[in-house]
Amino acid sequence: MGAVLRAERLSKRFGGLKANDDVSISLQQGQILGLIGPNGAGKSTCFAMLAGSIPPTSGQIFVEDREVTGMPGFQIARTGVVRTHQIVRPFGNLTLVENCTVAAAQCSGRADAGSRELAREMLQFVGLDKRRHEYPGGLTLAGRKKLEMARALSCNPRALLLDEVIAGVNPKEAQEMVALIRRIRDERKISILMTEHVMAAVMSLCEHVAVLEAGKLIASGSPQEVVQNPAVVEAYLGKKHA
Amino acid sequence: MKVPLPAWVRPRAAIGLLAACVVLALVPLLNGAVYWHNLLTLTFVGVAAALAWNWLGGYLGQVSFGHAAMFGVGGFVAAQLQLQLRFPMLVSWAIGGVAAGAFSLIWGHPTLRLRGPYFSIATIGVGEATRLVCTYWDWFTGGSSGLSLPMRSNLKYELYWYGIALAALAVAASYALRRSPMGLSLLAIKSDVDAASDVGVSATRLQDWVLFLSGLTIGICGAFYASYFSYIEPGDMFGFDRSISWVLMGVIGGIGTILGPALGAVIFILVKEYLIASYPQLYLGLYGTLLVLVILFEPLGITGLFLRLVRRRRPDLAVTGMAAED
Repeated sequence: MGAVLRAERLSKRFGGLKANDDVSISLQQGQILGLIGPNGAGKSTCFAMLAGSIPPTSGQIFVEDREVTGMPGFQIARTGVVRTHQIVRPFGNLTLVENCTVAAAQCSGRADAGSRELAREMLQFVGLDKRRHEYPGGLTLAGRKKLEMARALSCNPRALLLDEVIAGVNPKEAQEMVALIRRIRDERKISILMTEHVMAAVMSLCEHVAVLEAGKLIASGSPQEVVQNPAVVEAYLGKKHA
Repeated sequence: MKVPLPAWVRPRAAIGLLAACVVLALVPLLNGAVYWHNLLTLTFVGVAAALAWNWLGGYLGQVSFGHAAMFGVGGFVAAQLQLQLRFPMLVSWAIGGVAAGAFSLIWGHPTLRLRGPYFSIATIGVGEATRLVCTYWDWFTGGSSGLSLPMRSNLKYELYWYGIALAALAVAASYALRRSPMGLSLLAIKSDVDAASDVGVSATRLQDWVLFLSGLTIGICGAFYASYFSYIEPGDMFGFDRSISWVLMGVIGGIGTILGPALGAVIFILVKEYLIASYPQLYLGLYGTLLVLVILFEPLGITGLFLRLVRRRRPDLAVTGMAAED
């Protein structure tokens, strides 16, 4: 079992601010890895670098031993690492199935008809199949988040980077999302790296958790180990609780 | 016989296009069609050019006010090839088109990363700069006295059918660009270029392709126009009003739709013919008014009016990517 996605000593500077400082993460085949940390800890920056949206200042990124550091986002997506967005970004001028077809046509390596088929299959997988000819404007937030996942899945990725897909939906929908994420790993055999503020979801889904604080990785381990780590408690709640 | 078509082609659309071509091809055989002959030929060029403009302006949402630059390059390159090197007409059209497409890449590759109004402003500069350079470039364009092409009897009459073919190819290309996965990717870029990149869409490459195709087609239109009138001069070929006319055709018919700009071209050319004949001093003013009215009340032009009549909402036709979000 090798690492699907591996970041080594990743740093990102924005002027004088070190948003990420020496962050090393590796996502194993079939793993659900959680990346947590308080607001402003650098989770989004880390995601953006892994997905190729912004280049790292230093450090390296590998997809299954192939170095992808500095590749533009669309190429990283084609190597099989695809992200979703915390604030959903559907293509409002395309129907649900067309949203997914774009992704499938660009990344999955399937021809015309095959990409539409894959798109439809992925919509079915997230439970939006019946509404496939509608436009995203008519969906609820949870629906749009599912669309975001279906679109990413249509790329046929090896690794999926989920940016806060649960936050902001109601408790019942949150449970559905948790089940859906588990099914993505179990049935589609896709490794998942997720950031999430809903701790219950992280605790139940992730086998392994990495904690960022002020751009540095301060702890990693099983969820149970991590929440008992004094450095983590301090990062979230302040010194006197640690 | 069964023709294999890609999954996104509706047989009805293909049959409709063929039928329209056949009907139009038979028109000159009617008695008394001489007046219409000239007007229809010009309309075909207008349709092809308006559609080519729309690939960039409508599908991708990058409105160009400088497309006459490619029209002129295509026309003059084709004319010079015929004059200096005695190239056959169709070969010179093709080379003129490719030259125009290549020219569009030279200025467009860097400017297409600008979005919205910034891109449009850049195209105005490109259009005017090209016009000025070409007006003073005697060797290429003959300067302000222009170029006269070799005349051949009956050529003008025959070009009617070439015009049909040109317009039909442009319609087919518009359909393909809009409905194929590549077309969907263009709409995705228009909606959200970063999200598109995150699912593997290479915006730069696709934009360049669309720009090239658009420039190529406009260039062929210019070459056709040169052969049709057998005399061209830079002020007319590269004129700013020519660039504006394609914007108008798109806006009147419906930006971003498959057939809207074609419809816009037909109306534009017919109305212009009437207005120039009746009110030569007023016609630009009247067009301006029409443009303002359309943009204020129905940004999707005639297509928008039609959709309103049948009460259908079509987010895919939204004029900007943002408007589609509701």
